[in-house]
Amino acid sequence: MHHGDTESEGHPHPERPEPVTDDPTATAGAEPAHDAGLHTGHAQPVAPAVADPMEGEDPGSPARRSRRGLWITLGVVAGVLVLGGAAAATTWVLLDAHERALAARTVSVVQQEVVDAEFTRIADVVQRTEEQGTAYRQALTAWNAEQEQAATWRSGTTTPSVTEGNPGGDAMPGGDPLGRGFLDSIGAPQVQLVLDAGPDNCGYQAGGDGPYTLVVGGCFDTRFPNSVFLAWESGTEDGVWAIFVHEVMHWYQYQTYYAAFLAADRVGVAEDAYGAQLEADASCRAVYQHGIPSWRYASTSAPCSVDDWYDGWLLDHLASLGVPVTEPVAEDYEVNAVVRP
Amino acid sequence: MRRSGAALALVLAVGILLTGCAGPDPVLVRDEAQAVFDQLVARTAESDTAVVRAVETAEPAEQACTGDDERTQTGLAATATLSITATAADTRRIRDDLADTLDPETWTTIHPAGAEQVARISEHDVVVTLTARGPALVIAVFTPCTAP
Repeated sequence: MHHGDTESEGHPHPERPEPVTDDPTATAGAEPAHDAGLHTGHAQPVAPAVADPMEGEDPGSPARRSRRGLWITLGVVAGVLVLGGAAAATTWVLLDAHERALAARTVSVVQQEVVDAEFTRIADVVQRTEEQGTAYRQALTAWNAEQEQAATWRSGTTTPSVTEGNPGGDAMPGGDPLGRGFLDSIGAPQVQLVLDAGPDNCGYQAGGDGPYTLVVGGCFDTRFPNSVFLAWESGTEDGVWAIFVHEVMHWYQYQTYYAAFLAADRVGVAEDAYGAQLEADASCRAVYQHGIPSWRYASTSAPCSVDDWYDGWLLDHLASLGVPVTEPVAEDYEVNAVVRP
Repeated sequence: MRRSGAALALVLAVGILLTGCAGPDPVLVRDEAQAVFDQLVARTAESDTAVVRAVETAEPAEQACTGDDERTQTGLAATATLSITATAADTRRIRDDLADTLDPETWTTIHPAGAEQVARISEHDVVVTLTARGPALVIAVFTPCTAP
């Protein structure tokens, strides 16, 4: 049996049956198959161009079955991989498309209506919250400005010049002629006693100058933050110390409450509205805190007229007039209570 | 061997089909909406009382979907009103902090109804909107439109 005209150098399988020749003279197996290519010009049985490894095997042989199984397995694996890849790619494409579709979505009109309805429901609360927020910020700003202004004022060093000598002399009667000991004891070493009967001493000037009047008077003027004026006429010495302490108490009031006085001005409470209380508070502080007999002020322009006076009484009076006397607290301005579901 | 390969291919094919076609259980979707709503409200309620004063929830409301008389959606809404000391920037910061608690793997950003709003959607079409307006914040969660 001839397999075309191709000469081959293939090696026959050892188990392969011998090729059959038409030439009866030929001797089977006389020439080795691998020499076939060298013998041209005569009929020569040759091996197939490409030897089929299966060919010539017993189809039922174990080796053949093993190879077939291998091929089938490889085919299945390849198929599974292809299917899996396709599935993954399809899934990815679907998910990606889904993702892009989601991202393209917009909050619907119906949904936004629900949101807007909630804002409408709480509109009044929102408006009042905004108004109260503005009021709080304004109050806090004013408070801080007043505190700053008061601090600046307290640090002032302007001192008056004596324009008219004290008719009572250069020293107060008693053991503390310039009040230095008292001033130091209350933490006011920077305060100076100014013995002046001139125009800057408002108290003395208010006392009048009639021929039958003896005057002892003093003044605290905010133009001179750390000075108190005092002057007296001969014959009034017994009342000098009480007036001195009263004036120093005015200094204390302004050191402590000056911001509140500024706040009173801000909210329209003029000094006239609390002038009498300012005077009474100075005298009562002298009485209640520094041992001056109350009667010493009874016949003055500033009697201690407050029963059960206490430190802070003046501030409470200012507060009763509507003057803000404490730092604004946000909680006092809040519209909503704290609520949690 | 062939049978097992075929079975595997069939499973994969079914999986692909299910991925594209299967819809979520409406009950589960409603639960998802309620869960994210509760989470957002709870997070807001944890805010400092000096910043967030009142956090209040409304009753769930059912609305008809646009252009569809039969399908409805459920809306869950809560309001947070801020302190008088809070600024608009505080409200926006709270809104954005809330939005950041939503896992981006689950929640996709969608187009909001306005610049004051942040909106997200889940893969089950649950929509979350967080809207900051002045000293107030509205948290709203919507289920997808479903037939009764």
